[in-house]
Amino acid sequence: MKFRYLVLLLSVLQSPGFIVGAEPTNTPTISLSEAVPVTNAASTRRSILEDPATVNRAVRDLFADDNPLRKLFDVANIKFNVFDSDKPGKQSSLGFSYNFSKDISPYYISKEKAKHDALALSLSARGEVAFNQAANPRNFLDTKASFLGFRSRGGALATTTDVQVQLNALEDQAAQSKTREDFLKNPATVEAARIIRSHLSTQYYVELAADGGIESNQTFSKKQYIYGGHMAIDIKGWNPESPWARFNLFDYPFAATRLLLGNDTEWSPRGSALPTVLVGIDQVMPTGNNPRALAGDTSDFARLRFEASYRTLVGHIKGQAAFFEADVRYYQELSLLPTSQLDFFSLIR
Amino acid sequence: MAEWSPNNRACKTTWFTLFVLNQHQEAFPDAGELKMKDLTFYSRTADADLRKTMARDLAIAMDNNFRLIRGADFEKSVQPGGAIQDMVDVLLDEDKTMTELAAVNDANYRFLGEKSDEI
Repeated sequence: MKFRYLVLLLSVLQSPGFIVGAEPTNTPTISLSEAVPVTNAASTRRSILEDPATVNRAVRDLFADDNPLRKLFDVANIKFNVFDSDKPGKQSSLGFSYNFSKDISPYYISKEKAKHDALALSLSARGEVAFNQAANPRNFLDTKASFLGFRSRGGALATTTDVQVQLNALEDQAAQSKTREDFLKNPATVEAARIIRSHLSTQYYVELAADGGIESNQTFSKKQYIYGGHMAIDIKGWNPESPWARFNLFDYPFAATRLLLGNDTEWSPRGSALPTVLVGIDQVMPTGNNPRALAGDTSDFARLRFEASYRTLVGHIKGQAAFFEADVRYYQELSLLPTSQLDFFSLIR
Repeated sequence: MAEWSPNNRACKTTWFTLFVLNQHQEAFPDAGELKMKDLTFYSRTADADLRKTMARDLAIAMDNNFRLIRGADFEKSVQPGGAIQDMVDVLLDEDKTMTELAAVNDANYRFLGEKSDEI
C-alpha cells in the first residue's frame, strides 16, 4: 500500500504544475496545473528541485525501518537527486542515485590473531539516473562482481591481562569527560592512549581481485563489458613512533594545523594518514556508439587504472572537524599504437 | 535501536579504539551520534572499491585492538570473517552512527569485563 503512495509521490513530483500541500479539489475536470496559479506551481516545483533532501526525508518518514521497500532503499543507498542538463535550454530533472555494495562474509584461511588471510566475493552496483532522459549525467552505470583475496599483517601487539584490566579502568575514567577539550586533556585519556599506541605496530594490507562487470549509459545505448583485476595496498603506521608516522611528509602540513589549532599538544604527524593505492588492468569490450567506434575503432582494448586516496584531520574549527581530502584517478589505454586524445583520462578532486 | 551508554563496554571500547586509531576526537557523550562519514577514514571522493578497502583495513585494525590489546574474544559461533564483515557493512554506510557500530561489535565480541545484559 505504501509503495503505491511512493509511486504516487514520485509521479506527482514529475507532473508539471505540481504543488506541495495543495488542497484536494472537488472539481474532477480541473487538473492540478489548472487549479493552482502557474507561477506558484512553477516556483514550488523549482523549490523541490532545489531541495531533493526533502524528498529523501519524506521517503524515510513514509516507511518503517522494517519495511521491505525501506530496506531496499537503505541497502542500495538509493537517494533522490536533481540533475542539471548540460544541453542548452534543457531543464533540471529529479532523478536518483544508487550505490549498492555487498561482500559475502570472507572465508578466513588463517585463524591466528593479527594474521588476516581471507577470500571473499564482492558485488557492487552504482549509478545515477534522471527521470528526464535529457538530463542524465554523463557518468556510466557501473555493475561489477569481484572475487578477491586479502592479507593483513601487523597492527597490534598482545598485552597482558593486567594491562587489559588497567585499560578498562582508564577507559572508564576517560568516558566521564563531557567535552572534547576535557577528554583530550584528561590524564586517563592520555595514559590509556599512550599504553595502547605503544602496543600498535605498522599494518600492511594488500588485496588481489579478479573483476568482471558492465559499464553503460542510462539508456544502455552505450555499454562496455569489463574483465580484469586489481591490487590495492593500504599501509598504516598506527604507532606514532613508527617511521611511517614520523616521516609521513603527506601529513606534515596537517600536523602543523592540528598543532596550531590545539588539537595536538605536540608535533604529531600520523602514520595512519598515508594514501591508499589501487592499481588495476582491465580488458574492455565496448559496444554501441562510443567515441572510439565513432573514430572507426570497434576493437577491444586493455586499460590501466590507478587511484590514490588520502584523507586527514586538519583540526577542529568552531567545534567542527575539518578534513583535507584528495583523490587522484588515472586511466590509460594500453596500446602499442601511437597515443591519441582518447587514450587517457585523469581526475583529481 | 541500541543504546549508547557509559555502562556498556562495547560502546566504550569501540569509541576509544577509534580514538587511538585517529578516527575522531569526540568525548564519549557526543560520540554515539557521530556518523561514519565523520570518521577520518571515510573518503567521500574515493571510488567505492577503494573506500571498501579502507573500511576493511580499519575493521581489521579494530579487531586486532579488541582481541590483542583489550582482551576481547568472539562470542560463541561468531567467526572472524563475520565479525569483520559486520563492521565493514556499518563503516561503509555514511549515515550509520558509532552507536550502531558498537551494537554489532557487542553482538560479535565478548569484551573483557562485559556484563551479560549489555545491549
